[in-house]
Amino acid sequence: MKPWRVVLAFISLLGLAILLSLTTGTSHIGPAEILAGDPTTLTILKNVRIPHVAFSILIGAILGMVGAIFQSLFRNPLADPYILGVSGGAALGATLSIALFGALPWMGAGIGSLIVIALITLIAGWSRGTSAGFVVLLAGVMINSFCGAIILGLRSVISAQKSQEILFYLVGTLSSVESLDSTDLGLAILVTLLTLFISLLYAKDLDLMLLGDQEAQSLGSNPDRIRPILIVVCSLSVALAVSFTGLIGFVGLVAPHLVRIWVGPRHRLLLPLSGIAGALFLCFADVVARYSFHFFETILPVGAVTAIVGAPVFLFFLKLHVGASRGQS
Amino acid sequence: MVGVSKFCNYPEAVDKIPKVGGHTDPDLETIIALHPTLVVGVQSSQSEKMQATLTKADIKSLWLKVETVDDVLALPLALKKAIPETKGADALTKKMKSELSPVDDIKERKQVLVVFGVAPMIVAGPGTYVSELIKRAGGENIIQDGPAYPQLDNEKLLSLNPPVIIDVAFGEHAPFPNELSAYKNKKIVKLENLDLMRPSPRIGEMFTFLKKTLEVKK
Amino acid sequence: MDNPNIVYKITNLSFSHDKEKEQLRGLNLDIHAGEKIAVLGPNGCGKSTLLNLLSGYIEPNEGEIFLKGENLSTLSPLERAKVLTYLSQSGPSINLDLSLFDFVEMGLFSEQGRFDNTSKEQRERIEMAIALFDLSALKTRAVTTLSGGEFQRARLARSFLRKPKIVLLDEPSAALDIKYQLKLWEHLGSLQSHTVIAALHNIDTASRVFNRCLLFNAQGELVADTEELNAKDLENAFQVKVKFIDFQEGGHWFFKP
Repeated sequence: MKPWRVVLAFISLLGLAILLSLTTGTSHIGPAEILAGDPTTLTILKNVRIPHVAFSILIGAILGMVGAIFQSLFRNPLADPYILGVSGGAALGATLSIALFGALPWMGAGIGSLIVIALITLIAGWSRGTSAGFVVLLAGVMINSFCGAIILGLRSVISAQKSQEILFYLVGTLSSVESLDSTDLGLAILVTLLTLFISLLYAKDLDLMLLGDQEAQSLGSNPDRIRPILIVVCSLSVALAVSFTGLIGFVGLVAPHLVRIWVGPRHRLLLPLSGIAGALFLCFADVVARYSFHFFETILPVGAVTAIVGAPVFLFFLKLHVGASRGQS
Repeated sequence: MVGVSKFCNYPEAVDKIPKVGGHTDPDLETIIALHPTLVVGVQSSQSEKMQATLTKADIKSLWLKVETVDDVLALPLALKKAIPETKGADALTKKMKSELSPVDDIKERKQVLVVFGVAPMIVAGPGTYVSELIKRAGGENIIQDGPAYPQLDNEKLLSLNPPVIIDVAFGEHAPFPNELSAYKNKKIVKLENLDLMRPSPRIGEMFTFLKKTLEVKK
Repeated sequence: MDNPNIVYKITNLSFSHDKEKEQLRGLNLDIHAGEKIAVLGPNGCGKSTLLNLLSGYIEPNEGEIFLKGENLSTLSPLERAKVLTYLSQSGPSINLDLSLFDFVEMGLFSEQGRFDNTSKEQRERIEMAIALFDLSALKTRAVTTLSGGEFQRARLARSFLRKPKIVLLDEPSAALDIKYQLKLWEHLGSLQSHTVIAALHNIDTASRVFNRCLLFNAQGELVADTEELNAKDLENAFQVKVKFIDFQEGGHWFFKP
């Protein structure tokens, strides 16, 4: 399919998801009430639905782009935005925050992530060349395991209620966005745009890095310089995302693969589209999470929805892709 | 009393008593070292297993159901039955029953929402202990269907617009939306002593708090 | 620099992979613009290493390499890529559905800005480079579906797409059918003003193109630097008895052990 058609398709779907997100929710307020302009409706739109739309798109975009970048940087189709240990640091920070101060996991998460990023940047300097990615990846996995273990330990020490709170955070939730203000929104927009800019700036370099460090260098790219820059920028973006919403899984893992099936591996298209796909996916998952109140009398955590919805969709597209390429050769 | 769970904190004297662990994961070695005559615990998914373990170590155990208001009221006598030396069981039962006389004959039951946490927003659902207490105190849990601890969002909160909100969240949290009637009427009440949320002999205190909050008019 | 005609000036070059084996020792060499140089020698003698050093990807233990008057180790990958083209011995293993066209297009990286699109004129150049090695029919095929020979032709197409006039090739004819080997030498021969340095396993089919040979022995010593090889040098280098068969017409040499 021609690339521009794919871009158009994704953007249209995103528009649809936005519309859905604005017109559905846990209450029975729908398009009719919105048009009528009733004050409760407007409050709900302003305090709940619009923040959900805005942040699900921004966070989803960040997760999608970073997932795609990490999958390329580390030559690992299973890489996701959390693989460098940022998630572990954030989760640990949040857990300590809840355990010690009984509140503000989001701040703790931010601090925890930043510490891990500093650590990872240090480790990234340990080796150069193609193996540099490998080293950082392993370090990230170790950090995640370490933090995870400490969290488990902490959970048995602290109270049941706090433990439950931590669990919600770890699964990933968008409910915290209802208490964020315009500064937070501004920050999120800034970070998303920064990630997009970095993606487009180094898109060609990432293409070349697919060929291996030596080939990439022979053609003019400098992976040893670009790799740390990408790692730091992406880690900061993920740290921000995680400090707002906890660890929403699946988006950063699946969106790039779906996009790659449609448009191929060239990063010029892959990265921005992964962002749009991530935004669309998370926005839609959020709609489902909130709407499920009508069936279960409770909202589902959005991290659970992304997995439940994401896995079958992904398998479906995988089958499509395998079938198509079998027919091709 | 030679040992208590790590959650026990009332009265103050309890602080000096050795702790044996949690409700579902107490430490066997610590318990054995205390040479208890009887271990009393709360029924849960783990209690059968724990009873088996304790029996193997030659320790008697008793597991009581403590989920509803009636369970709590029956506690003193249940303990007396197991431990005949118990004093004051009858008196305590009588005291609790009188403190908890149900508020009947109500014209209008005020709808209440009990909030455990804000982000995410977890509230008390039907069938929970606090739900039952509210009914007994002359009010009604605004959440009538669904799971015991449902998650809401601000939208649902705004559309429910409960007249009374009882805040039992731990620590600081983002404020409730100002558009809520409960906010405007200053009917968002924070329970300072969260220990009262537990089923315990202080059930009377909790009940009084609820009655006051509900300002029931007959 | 005195002589503007000198493309590479190599002084006292030494390199070893590890402390035990020194591959190149105290090499001094001048390479002039337009020369077509064949680097020959048995396996492990340092042919690839020499090219690697000349490309700037690895740095020597001792000595210096000056590329057009500038010390090679001071140049960034981009600066190097604007001036020379380097094709390593074996391509990377790529696991993705990159199309042949896209793969070749990557050769333009050093010419374009990061945000530039490929212009019409550049697209035409790509098409021409692809056509040079009869790959036009395969240009939309994924690179993973190509045969070894087709893939090598694609890599060559990418190399020749690029503008730089200094071309370093490591065993470029490996995996190629004889038809395309000849095509390759023909094309190289047509590049009059280009400086070509190629590491070769066998001189046979290429002999017409190259006007200078650097022959190394197994210890990494330069045994001969000449326009014409003689049997004695070859025997020394390869440790094998050699007989020349000289075909006047074609000007090709063959040597048989």
